Amino acid sequence: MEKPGKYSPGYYWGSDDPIIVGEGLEYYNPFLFMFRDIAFSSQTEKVELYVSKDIKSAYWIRFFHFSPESFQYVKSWFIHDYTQDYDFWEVYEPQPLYSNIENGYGIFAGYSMQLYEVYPDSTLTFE
Amino acid sequence: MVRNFCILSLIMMSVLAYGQQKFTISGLVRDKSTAEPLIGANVLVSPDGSGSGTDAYGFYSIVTEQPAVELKASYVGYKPFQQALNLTGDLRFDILLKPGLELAEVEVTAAQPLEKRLELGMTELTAAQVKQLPMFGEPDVLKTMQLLPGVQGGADGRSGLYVRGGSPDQNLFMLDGTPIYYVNHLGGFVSVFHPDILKNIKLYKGGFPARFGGRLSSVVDLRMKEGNKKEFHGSYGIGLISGDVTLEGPIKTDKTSFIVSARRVWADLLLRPVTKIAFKHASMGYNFYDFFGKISHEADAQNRFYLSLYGGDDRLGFFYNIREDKIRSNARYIWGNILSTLRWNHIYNSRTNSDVTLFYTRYRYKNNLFIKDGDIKGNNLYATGVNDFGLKADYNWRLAKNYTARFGGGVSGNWFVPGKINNSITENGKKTAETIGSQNRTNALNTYVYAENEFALFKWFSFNAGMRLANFRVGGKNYFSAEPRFLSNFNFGKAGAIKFGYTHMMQPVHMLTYSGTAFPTDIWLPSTPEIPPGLSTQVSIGYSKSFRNGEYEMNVELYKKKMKQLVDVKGGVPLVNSLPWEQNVEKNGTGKSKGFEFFLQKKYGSTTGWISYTWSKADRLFKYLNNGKPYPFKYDRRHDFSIVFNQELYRNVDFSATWVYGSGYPTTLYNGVYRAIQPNGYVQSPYDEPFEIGYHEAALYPGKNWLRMRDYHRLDLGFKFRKERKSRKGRKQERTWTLGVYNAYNRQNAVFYYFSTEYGQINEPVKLFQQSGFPIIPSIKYSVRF
Repeated sequence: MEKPGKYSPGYYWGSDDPIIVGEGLEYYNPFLFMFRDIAFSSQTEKVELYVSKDIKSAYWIRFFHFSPESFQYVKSWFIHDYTQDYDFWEVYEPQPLYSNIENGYGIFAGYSMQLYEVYPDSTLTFE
Repeated sequence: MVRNFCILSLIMMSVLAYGQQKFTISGLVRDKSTAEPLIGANVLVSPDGSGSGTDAYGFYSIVTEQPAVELKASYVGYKPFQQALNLTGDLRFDILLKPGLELAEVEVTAAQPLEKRLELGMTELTAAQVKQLPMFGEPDVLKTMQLLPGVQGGADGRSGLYVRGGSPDQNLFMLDGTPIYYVNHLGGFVSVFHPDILKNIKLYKGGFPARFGGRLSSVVDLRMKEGNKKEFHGSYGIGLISGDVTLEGPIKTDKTSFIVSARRVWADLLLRPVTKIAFKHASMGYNFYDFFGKISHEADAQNRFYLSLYGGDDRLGFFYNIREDKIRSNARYIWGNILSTLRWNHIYNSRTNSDVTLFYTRYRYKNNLFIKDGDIKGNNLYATGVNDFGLKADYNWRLAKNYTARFGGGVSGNWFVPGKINNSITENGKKTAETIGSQNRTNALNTYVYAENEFALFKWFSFNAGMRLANFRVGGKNYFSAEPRFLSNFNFGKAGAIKFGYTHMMQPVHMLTYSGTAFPTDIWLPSTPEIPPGLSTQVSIGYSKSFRNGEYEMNVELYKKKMKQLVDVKGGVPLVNSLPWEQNVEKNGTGKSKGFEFFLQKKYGSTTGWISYTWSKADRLFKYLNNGKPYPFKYDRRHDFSIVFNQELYRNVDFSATWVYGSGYPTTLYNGVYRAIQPNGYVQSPYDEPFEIGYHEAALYPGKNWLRMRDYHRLDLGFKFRKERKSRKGRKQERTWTLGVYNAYNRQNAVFYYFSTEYGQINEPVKLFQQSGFPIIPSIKYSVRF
């Protein structure tokens, strides 16, 4: 097994696990998989994720835990960014960026993150 | 409400039945040369002035007290008919009208004046009126409708019909009584309805009779010709965009007839080779076709049978091929309808007739993306669709001189495919990966019954009180709707008529239009247990007056419409995605629209046309859109004006011109930017920061649809040069050259605005640009009628 450190782009994330239903952001950013933990029934849940092709080497993965505000913000960022675009037929319906600042713009929110080195078929524990 | 309505109806019926009259004259009104029944012909008897318009099958029925009467009939473009009759009992009397009208004969006493007609928010068009207008060199029904008050077509290149602040899915299109889902070909150049096959078109914007339901904003009732029962005839046309051929004739003279028509666009015959030459490795193609067919059979004087068929598809393809590298890809899109209708029209007696219809209609949309790179092949297939299969029956019962009952009901099974995804990869002929994402097929059962009671209590007052009871069953849940309909007419004779209408409608299907795809896509989906059907209530009041014996007609209307339980696709949601479709929409929206409409039409003579003006306002409100505040509907237009002018210049030369003006549609643009925190969606190394601060800008929108685009205006011109001559076999032929100019003064009308830098340079200041619609487009068409 190769040592981690060589980042391999192009791994598209997804999951068929009913506990972690994706937020449908893969269209805007396939390297990101966002889900809500509302279906978690206990402190520890075992869930499954897949990537688009066979992993032959180890690689890095980041787990984020977002506060509700940062979750909203990150999600709306990708849609906001994506809908700035236009094509031959029409402009996309613009989507405003989430903000929780009164009388101003921006975001006040928190998150935590952990970095993992991952091997094929490995099980990760995120606390 | 329902109970009170039934009791009131029974009381009125019994009162009127008591005063039932002696004689009923009924029959069909037909074209003398083709035996084609005429819809909307006016028939009346004098001296008592009882009258009737023919129904969708050309049938009329008049009750009179007089034994000696003068029967009169008229229809636009036909010589009036008049005959004295002595009645000894009920009489079946079929009327044959001769085509061709001299100007002196315009004075048609039989024409039912506008003031007497019990209709509000309804406009009737004939195929002849549609064919007079220039458009893109192809006369078109929906383009003509967009020139009527209260109706808009959206921006150039859009293919919707927006009626009184409603969205395109809120229009019910019925071809020979069967719903049709997809009505416009790509870009809205032409609709699927070929005018050569149509006989009569009615657009209802309000005052809906109870027999119609299932949509919130409008009903378009299109009736196909039956075909010539006397002689074989046909036509063909060759235009810049498409070619068409229509054939009609008797299978058995006076009994059975057929009509078939086919049209195909041939842009692809040029487009594919031209794009192949222009781009080294890429090309594209687009085409559509329509096929119509109808067989009409008159078994006897009481029974008629019809089989109507329609099929049409749009096909779009993008192709990419690098032979030397063995890379090939293509994207193919196909979408369209199939429709079939089998009907039995039965005349029980002089007062009662019925129509029983068995129908099937299907709309489907598919896209297939294929890529081949060496030995690896990838295939992405997406499909969605809707199917309706149903049976319905409609009855007309002329119970008394001043009372007509219409009632009926229907049941249809609807099944929807919300979105089927099938992705596969094949390596060296071996399938290595396959993803099949299929959202469950949704089945629904649609049932309804209705009753309409049309009373003419006095010469100055008539009304139609109706009720429609509908139920939509889906996923074990029933959505029941009681829909009262009321329409009244106060006729003040020469002073005009005041009309009032109230309607309540339910719509259990929704069309989702996804933005940001390479072209418009229509996905039809049902209400589900989570998404209730849309509801609307409309109140309208109108004033109508005709001048010069019906030569001019004027309508003024005010309306107010409220809609609730609306859905809209969430912004930025792509067409193909993994979420259940219910999660891709905003739910429980409301809509409000109100407006004033003015319509003045000149119907007869060498000069015809109309002037229409609309003032309107339409808003939408969704909890999670625009911070929960109301915003203007995407196609909210404050002022809309159009002039249609047709002039017979010489005996064989017609000229037509249309000019349209509309104030700007709303749009959303940012009016400021700020430096925002950007999540780093693509990580190069494990040491990258997850968020970047201070590099990226976020846009500030003051509100949804807060800005208005430039005003829209456009002039279209058309000339028709007709020549009659005899063919070698001695048959009469009419050859027509149609020359047209779309957007004659090349107005740059806005489709959308966007910010960009000049020539795409990053360091240049950002400027506002406009994507304009269609420029000046000349057209030419040659057609022959034989």
